[in-house]
Amino acid sequence: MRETMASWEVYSRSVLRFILAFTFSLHGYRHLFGVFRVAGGRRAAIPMALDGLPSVMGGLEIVGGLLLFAGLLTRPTAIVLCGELLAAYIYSAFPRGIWPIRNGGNETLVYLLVFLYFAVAGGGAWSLDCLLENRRKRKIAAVPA
Amino acid sequence: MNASAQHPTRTPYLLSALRMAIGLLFFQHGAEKLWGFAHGRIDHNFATLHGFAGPLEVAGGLLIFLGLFTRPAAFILCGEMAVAYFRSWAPRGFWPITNGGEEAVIFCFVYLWLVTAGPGPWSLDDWMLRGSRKTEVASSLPEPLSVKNG
Repeated sequence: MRETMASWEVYSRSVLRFILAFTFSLHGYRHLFGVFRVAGGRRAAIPMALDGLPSVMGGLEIVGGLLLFAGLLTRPTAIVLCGELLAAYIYSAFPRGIWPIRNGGNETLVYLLVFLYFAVAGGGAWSLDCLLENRRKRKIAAVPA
Repeated sequence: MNASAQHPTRTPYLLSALRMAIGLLFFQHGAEKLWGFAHGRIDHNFATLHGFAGPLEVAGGLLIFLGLFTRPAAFILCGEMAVAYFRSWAPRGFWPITNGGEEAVIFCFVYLWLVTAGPGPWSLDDWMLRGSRKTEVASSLPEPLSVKNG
């Protein structure tokens, strides 16, 4: 049972990557183009730390989000985005208070942690990185000795 | 098997550290509902879904932090977050970024991933497993996963 579950990890990590890259990239569109401005629920009271960064960072979020969604250059992309998220937490969440639930930094920290994992472990089985590497390996294997 | 799908050897420890941090971040929400943590809104109407989420999040957050019954706990919390998203946030708009449900979405999928990834080596699950199988100390470290190459 445990082994079966663990063998699915590479797929569920890719699913996690699709979802988080997508929701993360939405912040880029909010930053650059001013869409998704309507804030409902709690976000009206506590703005998310990521949205407190200067708008130019939106480009990083869109490009990084797309690369991460595709799983292309997953590791370097994830490291860069980790840097951005850390900056966002220190710059806009931390001055508001110590507890992430009150300073709007909760989502930012979850993104940071998960992207850090992608940076170390890679993007999982369903990623362009994985596809390209398999293709390269097959090409090497096809060369006659 | 290839490098981007494979666990490098130290990755399981990062998984454990990440799991603890996620558990603590999640615990805050339960502590807010039960005890008004960080001047939050207390909700003791345990018969309602929002009130019931309090003890669920306190217990679940602790279990995830300790790495005890990680997979079943993560499965239940994944379901809880899905319910939370569709009951409280989805009616406020389509996009997670505007309806306020972004955190519920990311927690939901992080827990779905934890169901498969497991707790990693720094966890009570793993500690008990090592106790029951003294001969296989490294049993928790993921063995090379058998993933078919396209």
